[in-house]
Amino acid sequence: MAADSPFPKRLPEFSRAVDDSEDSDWDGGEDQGGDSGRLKASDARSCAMRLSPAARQELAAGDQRVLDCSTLLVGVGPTACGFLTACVLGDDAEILGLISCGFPEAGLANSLGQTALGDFNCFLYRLKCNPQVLVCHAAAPVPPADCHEFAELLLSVLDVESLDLAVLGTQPLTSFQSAEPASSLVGPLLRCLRSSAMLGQGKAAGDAVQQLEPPNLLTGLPAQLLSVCQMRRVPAAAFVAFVAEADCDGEPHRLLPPDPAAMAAFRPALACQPLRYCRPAWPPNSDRVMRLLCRQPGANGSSAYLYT
Amino acid sequence: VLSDKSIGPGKWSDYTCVLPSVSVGNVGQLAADLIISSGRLYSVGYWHSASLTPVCGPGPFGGPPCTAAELWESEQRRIVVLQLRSPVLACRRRRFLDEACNLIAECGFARVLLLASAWDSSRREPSCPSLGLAGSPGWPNPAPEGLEFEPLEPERRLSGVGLAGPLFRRLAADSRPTGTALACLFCSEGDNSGHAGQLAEAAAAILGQPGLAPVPGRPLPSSWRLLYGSRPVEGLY
Repeated sequence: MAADSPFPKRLPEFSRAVDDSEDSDWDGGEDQGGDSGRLKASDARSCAMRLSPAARQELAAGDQRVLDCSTLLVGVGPTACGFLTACVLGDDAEILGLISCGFPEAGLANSLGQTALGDFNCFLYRLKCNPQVLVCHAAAPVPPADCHEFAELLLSVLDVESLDLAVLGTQPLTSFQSAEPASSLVGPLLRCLRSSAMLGQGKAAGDAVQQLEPPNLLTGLPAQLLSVCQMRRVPAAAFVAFVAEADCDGEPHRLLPPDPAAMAAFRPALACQPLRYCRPAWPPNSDRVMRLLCRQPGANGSSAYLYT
Repeated sequence: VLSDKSIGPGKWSDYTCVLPSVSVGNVGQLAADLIISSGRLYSVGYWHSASLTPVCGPGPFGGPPCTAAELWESEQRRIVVLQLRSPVLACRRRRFLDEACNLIAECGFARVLLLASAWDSSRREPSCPSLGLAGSPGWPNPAPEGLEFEPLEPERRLSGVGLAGPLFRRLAADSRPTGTALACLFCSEGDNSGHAGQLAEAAAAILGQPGLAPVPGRPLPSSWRLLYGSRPVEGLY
C-alpha cells in the first residue's frame, strides 16, 4: 500500500478468530498442535541464569540474597541495547551474569566471556561508575512463552521493593494505532507507559515522553516486565520506540544490527526517570558507537538480509 | 497468582464469576468490557499467569495500566469479571485450564458464567437463535423467561469457541463452583461490537442484573477505539 494512499490504515493481517481445540477434538488432555513434537519441545523450554563468582558471593553475603541495586535498565532488542550501550553502559562495565532462553540449566555451557553477538544470551551488567545501576541486555528475541520465566529469574536476584525499573524496546511503526492516516505518521515515535507506583510517587512529573495512547499495547518482554512491576507495585517505566519494520526484533535466531537513527529515538527517555538518575551521556561517545556497530553481524558489508 | 494479598481463599464465596474466552471476533472479551463499564465494576487486582501472552497497555477505562488478566468486582451485584486481554499461549492450554480451575476453586465462586462466541456456520440451523446456552447440573436452566436461545449439549464441539468448551466441561464436572453456564454467540468476524452488546445483554439477563446491560450513549472503553481501523480519509467518496 503506498505511503500516501487515501485508504484508511490497514488492519493487522492476523485474524482475531480463534479456531481452537474444539476443531481438533482436544478435550482438555495433552496439548496438541500441528507439530506435537515441536510443541512438546517448546513447552520444555526454560530460561536459565548464570552468575559470575563475584555476584554469587554478593548474593551469599546478604541476608536477603539479592544484588545491591536500586535501578534496573533493561534493553529489549538490538536497537534498545545499542542505545543503552552507547549512552549508559561504560567501557568498563562489570558482567554480573547472563540469562539464556531455550536451554535447561544443565546445558548452559556458555561462559560469561562469550559476548559474541551470535550467542543468544542476555547479559546483566553493573556500571562501575554507578554500582547501584544494573543494565540487562536482551538483544536476542525472547519468545512470549519464555517472557514470564525470564522476568521471574531477573527479578529474583533483586530487591524488588526498593527498585526502579526502566525497560526500552521497539515495535513496528506499522503497528502503531492512531486516528491519523498512516501516511502522516513519521517515525520513529517514542512513547512511554508507566506503572501506577511510578505515577503515584510523582517520579514522572515533567517527563517529556508522551504517554502511550490507547488502544496501543506493549507486547513481549517489555509487557511482561511492566506487568510484573504493576502487580508488585514497583515504580517502572517502559519506553517503546515505534520504528521501521526492519529495525525491530526479528524472528528467533535472527539478530539485526541496530540502526543509529532508530537508537536516537530513545534520546528523550534520557531526561526521564529512572534513566535520568543514571547520568547518561548524550551525545554518546562516537568511538563507542562505532565499536558497537562494528560488532554487529552484517555491519561489515555482509547484509543480514539475503535479498534486499 | 493474584496480585492483591487481601484476596484470600473463599473471599468471593457467594459471587458469580464472569469469564470470557478468546473466541471468534473476541466477542466474549468485548462483552466483558461492556459489563464492566455498565455495571461500574472497579479494579481489584490482577491474575499473574504464565499461560497468557504478555500484554500491557493504558487502562481501557482510564486508571492504572491493564495487563493480560484483570479482576473487576461489584460488591453490590456480587459479581467478579476475570477479564482476559490476550490469548493463551498455544503450548500452555492445558496448564491454563488447570490454573483457571484452581483459581475459581480458591476464590470460592458460587457460579461461573463463561462468555464466548463460535462460528456462525456451527449453528445447527440458520433459523436457530444466535445465542447458545449450556448449563451444568448445578445450574441446569440458566436462561431467564423470554430469552431465545439454542440449547447446547455439553459434549458438543463448537468451532471457534476457544477454551470455553473444555473449561465448561471441566467446571461442570467439578463440585466447585456450584453452577457453571456457557453463553455462546454464533457470529462471523468483522465489526463485532454489536455482537458484544448482544452477548452482554444476554449475560445481564442470565445473571438477573438488568443494570449490567449496555447503556446506550455510555462511552465505550478506550481499548475499543480504532479496533476496527481508522475512519477513511474525508473526500475519498
